[in-house]
Amino acid sequence: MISTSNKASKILLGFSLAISLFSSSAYGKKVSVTVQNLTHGSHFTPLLIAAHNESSKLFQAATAASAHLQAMAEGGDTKGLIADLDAAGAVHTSATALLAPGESYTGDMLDITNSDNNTLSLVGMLLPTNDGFVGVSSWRIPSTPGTYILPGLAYDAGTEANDELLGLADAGTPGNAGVPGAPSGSAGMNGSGAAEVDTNRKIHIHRGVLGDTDSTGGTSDFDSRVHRWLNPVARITVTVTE
Amino acid sequence: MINLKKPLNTSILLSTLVLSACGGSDSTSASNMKTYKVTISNVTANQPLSPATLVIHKSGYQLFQAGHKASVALEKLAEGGSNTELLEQANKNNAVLAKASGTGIIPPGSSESIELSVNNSADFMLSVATMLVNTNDAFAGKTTTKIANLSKGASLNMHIPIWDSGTEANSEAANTIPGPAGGGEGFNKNREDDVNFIAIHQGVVTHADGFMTSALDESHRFTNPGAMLRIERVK
Repeated sequence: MISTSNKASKILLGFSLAISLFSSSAYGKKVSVTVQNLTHGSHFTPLLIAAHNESSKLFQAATAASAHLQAMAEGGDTKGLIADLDAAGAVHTSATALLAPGESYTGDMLDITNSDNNTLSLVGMLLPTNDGFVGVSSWRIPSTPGTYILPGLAYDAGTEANDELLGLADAGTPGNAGVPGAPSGSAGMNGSGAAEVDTNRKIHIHRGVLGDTDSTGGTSDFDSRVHRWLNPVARITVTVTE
Repeated sequence: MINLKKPLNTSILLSTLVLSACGGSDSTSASNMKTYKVTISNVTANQPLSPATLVIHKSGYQLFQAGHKASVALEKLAEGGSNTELLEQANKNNAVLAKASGTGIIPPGSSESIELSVNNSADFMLSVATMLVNTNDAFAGKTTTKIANLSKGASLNMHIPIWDSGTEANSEAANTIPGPAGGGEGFNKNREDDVNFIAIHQGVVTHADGFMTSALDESHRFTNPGAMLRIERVK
């Protein structure tokens, strides 16, 4: 039942051979993940979906964001997180395009046969936000085959003030103020800044974007009638097969 | 999350069976003692949480119920952050097996872990509640999470939603907000200006959104969940 058609899974099996001698799992196990964007007018930057071991984490609420998590949350850059996952022997799949409101993305099947990669995480930046991201953190993949539905919550990385300003230079670079883009349109300009500091510098549940109805001024460059959302911002469908 | 429950509970049950089969008969009835480490993490942007209320109980006790009137004891927690009366009432209830209070305010971004022990073979549950203090009467709470079948070393991770106790109008005026954003009154027994039932909180409006008499700013807004709950059976 173990697929040998995939080179990546072969390498993984080789890596985990020593462990598999002691593993009780004598059958293949695969995980498919679909993410649907449930927001009205916010995009997700290309999603990163991973099955990893229990001691690895992409992020954890109420703890400080790693520099790699910050790069994803402020600019959609997942390279650092992918390097972390590779170092931990995780399996992962990534989207190559933005996920528009209402749309779904299904990643490549993750093969976790005979590995300890039995924990699921996913991340993608929410646009437009300063450092908001949709995430699932270390969800234990059930041993029972089936389809499972999870809420995808919007988190705030706690690394950048939510000024809700567009058009600032290099806004997607970690540490720089501003929002790198509003792909759904409807954004304004010349706002004065919706917030000056992040009170909570740890990763937390996003309080939502504020926006306003003034496209040429006001405090925010977001449109409160278009860019607001409530949790959950995504519907995650996980299918576990043997 | 709904589909998640059954398979997980099944796997917990199975691992319990396996463990008890391996464990042999060296333990006696005294080993009904189970100890849980309960961790509450404040994941709001700027809402300190009042000292946590934790109750382990059998059926026959309800900390609160959605759509029902809040008890006066719950109102005192939701409006003023005091869990004294809730814990006194829990103490008198035969269905309650253990209870605890957090040691103090849990600031945004912080966590508190509290251990509770139960010596009982019943199918008991955990209920928790804590006030979001920069509000009129919002609290984060989760009731009746079944924990009796959790095997040693196993854990559960859950979201705690934010409720409105329905006992005080959400005026957001400084003199009605007991937390640092207002410094006003906590508990007031009057319920006549609100719906008088518990509902999921509609969120705060704040003066950033044009509610000019609100003492709250944009940082006090929240979406669900307000807190994370981790329950780990440690003994």
